[in-house]
Amino acid sequence: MTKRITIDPITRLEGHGKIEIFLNDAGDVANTYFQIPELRGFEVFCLGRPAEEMPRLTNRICGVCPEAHHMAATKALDMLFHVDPPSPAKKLRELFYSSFYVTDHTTHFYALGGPDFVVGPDAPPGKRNILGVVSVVGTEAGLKVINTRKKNHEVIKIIGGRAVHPVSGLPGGMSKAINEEERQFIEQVARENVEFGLWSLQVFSDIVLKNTDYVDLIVGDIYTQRTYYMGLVDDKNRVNFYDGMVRVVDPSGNEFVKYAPKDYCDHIVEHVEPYSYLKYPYLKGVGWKGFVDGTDSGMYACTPLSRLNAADSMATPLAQEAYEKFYETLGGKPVHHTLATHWARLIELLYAAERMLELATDPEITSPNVRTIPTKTPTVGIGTVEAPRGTLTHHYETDANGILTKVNLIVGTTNNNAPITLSVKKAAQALIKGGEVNNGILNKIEMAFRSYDPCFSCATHSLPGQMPLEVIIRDAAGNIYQRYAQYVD
Amino acid sequence: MTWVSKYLRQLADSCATAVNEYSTIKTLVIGLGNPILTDDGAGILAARLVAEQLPPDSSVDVVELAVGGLSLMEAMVDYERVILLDALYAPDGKPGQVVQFSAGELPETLNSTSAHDVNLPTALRLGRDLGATLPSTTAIQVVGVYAQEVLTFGDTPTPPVAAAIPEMAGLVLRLLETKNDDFS
Repeated sequence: MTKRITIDPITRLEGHGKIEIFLNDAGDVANTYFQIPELRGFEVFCLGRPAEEMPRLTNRICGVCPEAHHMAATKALDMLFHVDPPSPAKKLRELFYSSFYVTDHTTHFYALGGPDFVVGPDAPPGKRNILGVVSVVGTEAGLKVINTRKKNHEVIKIIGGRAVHPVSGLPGGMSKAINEEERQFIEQVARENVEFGLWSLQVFSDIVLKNTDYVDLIVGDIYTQRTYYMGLVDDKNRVNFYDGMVRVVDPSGNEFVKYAPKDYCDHIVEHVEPYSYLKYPYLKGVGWKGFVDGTDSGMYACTPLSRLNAADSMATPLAQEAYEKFYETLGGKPVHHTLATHWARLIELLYAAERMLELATDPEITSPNVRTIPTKTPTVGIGTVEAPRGTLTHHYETDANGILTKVNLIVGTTNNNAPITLSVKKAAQALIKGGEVNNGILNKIEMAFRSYDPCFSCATHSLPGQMPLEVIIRDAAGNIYQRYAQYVD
Repeated sequence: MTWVSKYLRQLADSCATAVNEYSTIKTLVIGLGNPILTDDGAGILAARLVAEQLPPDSSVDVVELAVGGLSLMEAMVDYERVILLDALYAPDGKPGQVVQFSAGELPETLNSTSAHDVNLPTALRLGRDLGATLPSTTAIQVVGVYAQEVLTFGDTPTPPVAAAIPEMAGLVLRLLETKNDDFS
């Protein structure tokens, strides 16, 4: 008898994924499908508009990382209009982006990923949230999280010009500079961010690394897959979120390819599955071999863990120390344990904080020279940044008047679509035996994709908040055999 | 948008006598949603209508947000009352139907939470636990409209939802006339 399990967040339209698990006669997992509904018509919506609207338009796609879309779009416009921003503008953009990274990674760790470890993967869903984290770590933790978010949102507003949807990125630079008073505030926030980053790593060390059950879970086979890893790196192969070359390492950690973001079409191809609107990008130089890992499979991941794997080091001292401890603890590079992504995310948080401090104290950062006026005819623009949840590329083409004729976006979650699918499959295969399913098992399957910090469809809003899930186990005739619901009425 | 202008005029006429009678309670009106996702922008468009009706010295602030969870809670800090304007979705919801409920009753808005965040009740509880001054659950009212299309990009709502936006704004303006922090 074949059984079918559906993890289906049926209540909302946006922000939800769906997992279907098919069991064989023995009640073991035969196959899994991970589906993401995609919002429609963004390209059509954009075509015919002036390209310079894109930084303000694309940041409306998503309420989670508007800053990432704003930056990718702004960089695409630099190339489109053949203009190189002055150095202070680039630094200002990266300062802005670093502050955004601190707040985004903070939210994920304390509100989404962290509860699985701080409260426990088998805890009931009602406890496995930020309130549970606060009850374990203390009120101090909650205040630190809220305070960090608040202050960095103020920084984002100062540089970005608006609180949620930034407007300051322009082709050739920024619309405004910052003054000394603003710089001093940003420097103070950056210093506090560094402290917060160190403290967060200590929390992780105390609560997760000192718990052998959690360490066993992280390094166990359930959450381990050997894929290629992608990330932006600077000229010394160090992690960079704002700019650089795209570097891909193979499952052994050797550089497979390094290319300029504008050449992405030469290296990335998209595979299509009939059951999913969302495509599965893979490495052209390896080829699509299905949802399998290993050197022969062109599947790649681009997550905080992937970025650490794809780089040789971190560009700031404290993050570098944490980076070295990470690989020493987990047995060298690359690390293939998906759940280690949470730890990697905190190392990135610390790096973002340190980088923010470097930039906030850079002598150029208050320079009024933040714009090079474009004078050339626009053609093609491709801009890439590392969004917190993966490499983000915007690709625009226009006519001679700058009116959009082509728009293509490859977002982080799309890049990770194939490895997420594989992670879910591996977790389900390992955890569901003999048709036995309970809340703890299903949460552990959900943990497999939560570690990717997926932002489905680049559409953010989802009613019940945490990923709403419904699990239906069906027999061969399609009858409901067991139902599991999480965040679903 | 022409339909906005048209209904704005009607709304202004119907509300002309009420303009100076709003409560002095510190109130926040939040238009939630994505203005380029067809009907998902309904809350934001309604909030803009409300803002245009308020006198300059009003104790009411109007903001547009596309965030849920913690960010939404943070926006409410230090306000005595909050009105959330949002698009709703339910399989049996009639597109264009306007509904009102308190935050404690029905967490059914599209945008009150986020896949990348906690839900609003959790965020409110966290905020209160941490000492933030936040409106009580009955002091948070949701004025929503059932949506027809929120999966396709577009900067104009579908006709039934567009037609309901002035009604949403009118409902908010009536709520703003109430004198108590629970909108009574």
